[in-house]
Amino acid sequence: MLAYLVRRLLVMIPMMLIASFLMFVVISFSGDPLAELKTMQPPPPPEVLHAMAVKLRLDQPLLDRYWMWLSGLFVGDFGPSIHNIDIGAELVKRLGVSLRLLALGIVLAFLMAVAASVIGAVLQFSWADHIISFVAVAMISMPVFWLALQLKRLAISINQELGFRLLYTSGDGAGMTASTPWDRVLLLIGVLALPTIALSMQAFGTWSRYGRVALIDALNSEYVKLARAKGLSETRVVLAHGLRTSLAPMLTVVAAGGAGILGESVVTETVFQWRGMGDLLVTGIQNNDVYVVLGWLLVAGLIIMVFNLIADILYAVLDPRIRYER
Amino acid sequence: MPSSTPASAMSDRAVEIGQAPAQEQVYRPWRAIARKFFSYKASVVSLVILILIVLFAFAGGPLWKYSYAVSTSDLSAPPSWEHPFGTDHLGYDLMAGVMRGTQRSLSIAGTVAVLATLIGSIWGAVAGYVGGWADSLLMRIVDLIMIFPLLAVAAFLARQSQGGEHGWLLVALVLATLSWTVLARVVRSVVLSLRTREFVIAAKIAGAGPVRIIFRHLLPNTVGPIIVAATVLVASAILSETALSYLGFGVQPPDTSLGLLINQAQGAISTRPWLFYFPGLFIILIALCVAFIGDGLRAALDPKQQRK
Amino acid sequence: MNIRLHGLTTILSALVVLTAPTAVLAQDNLVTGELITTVNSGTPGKGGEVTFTVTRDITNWNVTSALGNNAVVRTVTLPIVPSAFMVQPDFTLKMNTDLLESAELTSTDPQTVVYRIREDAVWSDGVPITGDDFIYFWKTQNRRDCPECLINASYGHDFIETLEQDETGKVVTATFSEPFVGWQGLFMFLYPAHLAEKHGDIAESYNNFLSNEVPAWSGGPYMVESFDPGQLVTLVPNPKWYGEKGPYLDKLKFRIITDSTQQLTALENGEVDVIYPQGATQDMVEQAAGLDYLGIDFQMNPAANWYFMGLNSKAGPMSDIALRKAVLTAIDAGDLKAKTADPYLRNWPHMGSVMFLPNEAGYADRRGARGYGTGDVEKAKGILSEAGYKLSGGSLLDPSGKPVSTLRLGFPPGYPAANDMARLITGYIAPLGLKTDLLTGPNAHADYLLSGNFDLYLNYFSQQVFPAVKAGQIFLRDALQNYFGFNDPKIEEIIGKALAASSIEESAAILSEADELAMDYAALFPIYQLPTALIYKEAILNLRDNPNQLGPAYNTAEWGLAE
Repeated sequence: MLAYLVRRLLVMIPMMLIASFLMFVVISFSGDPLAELKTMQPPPPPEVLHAMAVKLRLDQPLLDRYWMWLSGLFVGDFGPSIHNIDIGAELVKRLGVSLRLLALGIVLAFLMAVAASVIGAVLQFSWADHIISFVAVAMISMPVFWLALQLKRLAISINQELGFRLLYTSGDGAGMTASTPWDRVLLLIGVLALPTIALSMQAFGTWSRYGRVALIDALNSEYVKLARAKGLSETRVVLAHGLRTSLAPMLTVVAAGGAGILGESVVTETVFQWRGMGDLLVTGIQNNDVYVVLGWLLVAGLIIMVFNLIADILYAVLDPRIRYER
Repeated sequence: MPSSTPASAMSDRAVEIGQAPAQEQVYRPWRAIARKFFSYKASVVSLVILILIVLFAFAGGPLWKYSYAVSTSDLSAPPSWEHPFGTDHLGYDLMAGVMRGTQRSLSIAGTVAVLATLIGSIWGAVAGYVGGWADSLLMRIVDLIMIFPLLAVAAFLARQSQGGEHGWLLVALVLATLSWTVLARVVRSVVLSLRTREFVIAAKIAGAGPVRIIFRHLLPNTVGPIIVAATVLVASAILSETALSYLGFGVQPPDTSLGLLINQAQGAISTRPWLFYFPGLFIILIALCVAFIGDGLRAALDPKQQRK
Repeated sequence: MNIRLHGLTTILSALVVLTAPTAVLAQDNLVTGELITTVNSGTPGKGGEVTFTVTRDITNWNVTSALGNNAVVRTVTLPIVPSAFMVQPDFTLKMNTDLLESAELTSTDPQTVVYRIREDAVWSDGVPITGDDFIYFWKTQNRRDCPECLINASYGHDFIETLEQDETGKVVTATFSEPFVGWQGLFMFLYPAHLAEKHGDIAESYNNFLSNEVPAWSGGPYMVESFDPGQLVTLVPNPKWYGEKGPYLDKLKFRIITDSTQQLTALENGEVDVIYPQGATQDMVEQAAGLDYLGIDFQMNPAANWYFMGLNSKAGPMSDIALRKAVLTAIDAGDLKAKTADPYLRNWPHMGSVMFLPNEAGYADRRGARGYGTGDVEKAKGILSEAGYKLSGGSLLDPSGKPVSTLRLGFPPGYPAANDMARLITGYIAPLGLKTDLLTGPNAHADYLLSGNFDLYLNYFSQQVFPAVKAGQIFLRDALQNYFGFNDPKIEEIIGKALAASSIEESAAILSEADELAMDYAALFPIYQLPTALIYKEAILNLRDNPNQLGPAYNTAEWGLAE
């Protein structure tokens, strides 16, 4: 299996190269990176515009620029940025911010999905099951920022009811200080609550639908029927046998889908003003900052590949029927 | 060949479909499937609502007394009989605007679904039928496209939009280019299970070429999973368009879409809430209906599922 | 489990229920003063914190550099960087009496200015502010001593031939190579030469040390304590502050919120105390008016930025002046303002000049004088038929009988007002038989404006302290921002004369002739000024809208909380 995984990774390398070149070409022909400077009022002197063009390698032929970027990667140079950003360092920093949000969002979504699956499966076709199913579909159907903006309105009402500011509507808490440990906990909750909820809702919807089916299948399996026949309590049957069996496919789905949340975090980070990967991409695209966008896609691609690998490994470990021959 | 599809094949987008593993459903009686589908209340209600929304969007415009392009003298009017969805600060009737926006959003979603389905099913069928290195190459390309977060790449490609009358087509093309991969995987796995079946082998012996076999024998048998996957594409295309509009890379004014309408109204959420809620409700309604219709179709097409 | 479920359904139903409509524009908390320069004055107490919201991240700290020249860097560095003169809310220039004892024009031939720096003016490390700092700044800006310096614009520092100081370093004499009316706008920002010296040559220190490093120095009332990129800049009082007043606050914070709609939400939730969104919209003003109950006030003024519609006289149908004049005549400027500005902007002035703001010397309504913006369709049709155009079957035929092509009207995204105006203008010129395609997109400036791929373009210009300087950037034939093809040597000659005038009044009088000629050229249609909106907690004293390019941070030393 190790050999299979290694081979899969090796195949990706030429693919990534082709993809990066295509993106490089598209983004290089997409508008003038100096447009913002040129339309500045007053406009900078021509020498300054020229110096910026040289810095951004716009005076070089396209192929040379691509080669410079590619070879730079091996020494940790992600290329020049219009706004003097050290792209490599920035990506690492932003990744940290995003992972904090992603990890929490995934955990929250997973826990809620498991809880919803248990209710849905045990009380199949009851009103609770129907409501949960409906909520799950509703969450999948709701635009993230539409939900997020309403969460903010809700937070303002909650804060006004409470008489103090528990929930924050923007920022990741940078620069905010709290004196006592209790205050620190409150601050942490206040800053994380809204973005985490907004981010996790869609994943919750998807995963709970999947989990419900998996759990129903597990509860109908011969193995669980045997456990029931042995006279184990229903709670035990559901939790120890059914849930354990259904967790395997669920975890696999989470690993595969977790990476998809990275795309969604673009919107969530923008709404809640977190300076993570998503925000970096949006400003990079807005500024036509070629190398920022390229670096971003590279890192995002790698992360998703890792998630996919984890999913494959999980799948193989948890389901012994899978064999990777060839 | 892996004896089963690796889990990553069910990436996030595939999972949204909640797609069942390739089922064998050769020549299922369509009438029975329809009967089964119509026994799911939620799906039928959704289908009716969706048809009404489509009528509202495409036939409503000419019938409604206000036009999305002509302002009235009622500025910032809350919902009333005169303006059921209210008006904006220039006096444009929001119901006319929502009709127009729904029309555009549905056009985008429809274009995405049709294009992605076409590309994806042919791609997947060829990969599954031809096999060998061609299969590997085709599916590695699929893997590659799936590695990049859809929204991120779409934002970056859709930024090229120069607006104008056909700007929405670019958005649709971009979304289609990035979302056909789901279809390719679904179709490939079905085709893999079909290609050793008797009727395919019989066709081969009878001298049918690969093109004929793919189009006449294989693809018709994958219609079920394709329809199910396509319904999901419709919903996810509407949501992706909304997200793109929010980021500023979607449909550009003066054209409009549901996503653009809520984006433009986000500042009005506490002062003229109707501007924010009506377009949002339509997005949810469309996505919900499509999801329930997909559920019904999946259940109706799944031979294993028994209605209790 | 039930509780969780209940919570979910509550949230869901809360989401779907519409909140009560409150569309009434009550402006009880709109603060207006007799004088824009003294509004919201008071004597604050010592202590407290104020969090001011800015709209973009800071990636370059050098406000005079090409990449650092934006409103946010200006706002954040004004409390740190000393200035010789500052633009006041009424657009006049006032000497910074904390830094200078005097600044006098001592001779006009050659023009000579003598600056006397106050004895006690020092940098935060105790080193006196001297002529060295003036000379360093001049060298970075004059394009001769440091052509590699990535400056934003010379602003006239290149007119200074020699800059000398006496042995004390506190008297600085500038001798000009040619007369320059805008001398008061020079040295608006000064940098510590003694620190720059330690960071390489002029270009290196200017382009790197002053641009990329968070300033650890200060010559103003506050200094930077910490910077969390993308999130927050925290300033604390400069212990060596030499000024007469302040600083009063313990901490002055600048929070970065890039989405102006979300700035209001943060203000409503008490996360920030002041917001100054760029381009206030009707939604924002209505929301601000609704925040009266939280003790939130706001000030609004016409900004130094003004909307215009430019016509491409270089190519396409608009290269014919008759068509340009007809289009400008058919536009109903009164209706345009009534629909897009008046619903939320009180007594908003029209803009009738392309070189002067309505409150500047030299302004006259030259737009109305030519019949532009009257919406007089019949007159516009008259202009067209006189020039040989024909209206046939609802579409316009040019003198050679060919239909006039569909006009491409471009505008940048992100300005709701521009979108509204574009739609309205389409309607005004339709009766002339002109069809219009509205074009916008994330790349609008590059796709249309810079590439000349438009017939009409809606955007705004930012006026500068001296109208003649700004005019030089738009109307000279080789100017980078001459997007609309002004091509009149007479205009250039007059602008040159206006720059060399001996007084601002004289300069304005001369420049108004160029304004007349530019209006005759009919390639630029002034609309009205953008609004500023300063929305803040009423407890903050001396916080004042400064609607020109310096912004409200021009007097941070005086900001403080009511006792």
